[in-house]
Amino acid sequence: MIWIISILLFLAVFASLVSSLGILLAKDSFERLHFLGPITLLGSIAILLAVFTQEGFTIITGKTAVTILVLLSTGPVLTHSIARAAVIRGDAKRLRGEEWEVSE
Amino acid sequence: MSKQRIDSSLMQYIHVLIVTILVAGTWILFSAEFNPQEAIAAIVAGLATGMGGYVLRKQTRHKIFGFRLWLKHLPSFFAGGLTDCWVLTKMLFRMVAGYPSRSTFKKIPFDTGVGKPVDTGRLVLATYGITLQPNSYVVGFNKDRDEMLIHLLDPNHERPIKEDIRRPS
Amino acid sequence: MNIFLLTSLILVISFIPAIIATIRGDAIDRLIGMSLGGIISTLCLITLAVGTGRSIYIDVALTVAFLSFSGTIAFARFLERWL
Repeated sequence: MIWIISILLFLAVFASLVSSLGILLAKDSFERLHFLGPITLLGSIAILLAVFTQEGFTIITGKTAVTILVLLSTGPVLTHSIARAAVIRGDAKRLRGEEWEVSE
Repeated sequence: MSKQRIDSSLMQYIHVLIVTILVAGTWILFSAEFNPQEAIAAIVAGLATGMGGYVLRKQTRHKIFGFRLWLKHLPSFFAGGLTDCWVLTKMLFRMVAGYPSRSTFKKIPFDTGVGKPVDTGRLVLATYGITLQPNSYVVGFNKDRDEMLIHLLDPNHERPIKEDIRRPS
Repeated sequence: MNIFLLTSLILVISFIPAIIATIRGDAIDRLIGMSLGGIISTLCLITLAVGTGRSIYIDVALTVAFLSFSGTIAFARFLERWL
């Protein structure tokens, strides 16, 4: 049992390190935006499964499931809105020399 | 025609019931104790939320749409996202080793429709699903030219969009 | 030492790049750093709650998740045209 929990928590830590190092090392903000993905998807699902393996069907697991559901449903919305703001501001032209139009 | 209408009104009552059960369950979960008073308060709160949503949908003629499409495509989006995490790790190693990056913008033809509820559902599903996979995200739609602008970190691992999301069926 | 507490410690360490991204660079880069900080702090509070066995901390995690989402959405909406 402890081995399953260790592997799941190692996956979560791995995803969080990939996200942090990617945001630190990426070239510009459009590449940086991709690295919000691993911790939102892999990290949160791995932590939910680890908590379920540790606690079973208890109040802690239910509350964790609600919180992880909020994270999973709001993560892509954040990424999309930040990307849209960057393109409308003209960062694509300033950083890469490309111009794009996005309608409402 | 009449069978369809009965089905849609039945779907609305089922929707109210589901919302009531979910809100009441969340209430009891976060109150951390279970006695009759809490149960009554939870059911009243759930019914208020469900009926409020029902009245709001009746007034604005807002329909529940695209549920079957979401149910069909969401597991594949999650599976694709979990495998894309490995692609991101490889790209991080490339970045550390000092190779030039391959990230590009890309235009994809996407039928944005004429503004019906089904088209809005398809747009939201495409935005959510593609942005959920860490290798790609949707920047925006251009409704005049019927295309979608996405950004890819590694263009070699692009996943094509399913045909029934791209066009109205 | 519990393994969940160890995980929350490593998550706190991976908070440092988010702080670095927030204090330097462009406006959009700072926004990305803030969003990453919100997600990491939510997960860190969950592992802390399970590690110490106090389920009341998860309410804090839920509040942080909602507030960081609405804050980042408001900033992104304002950064579209002004500032």
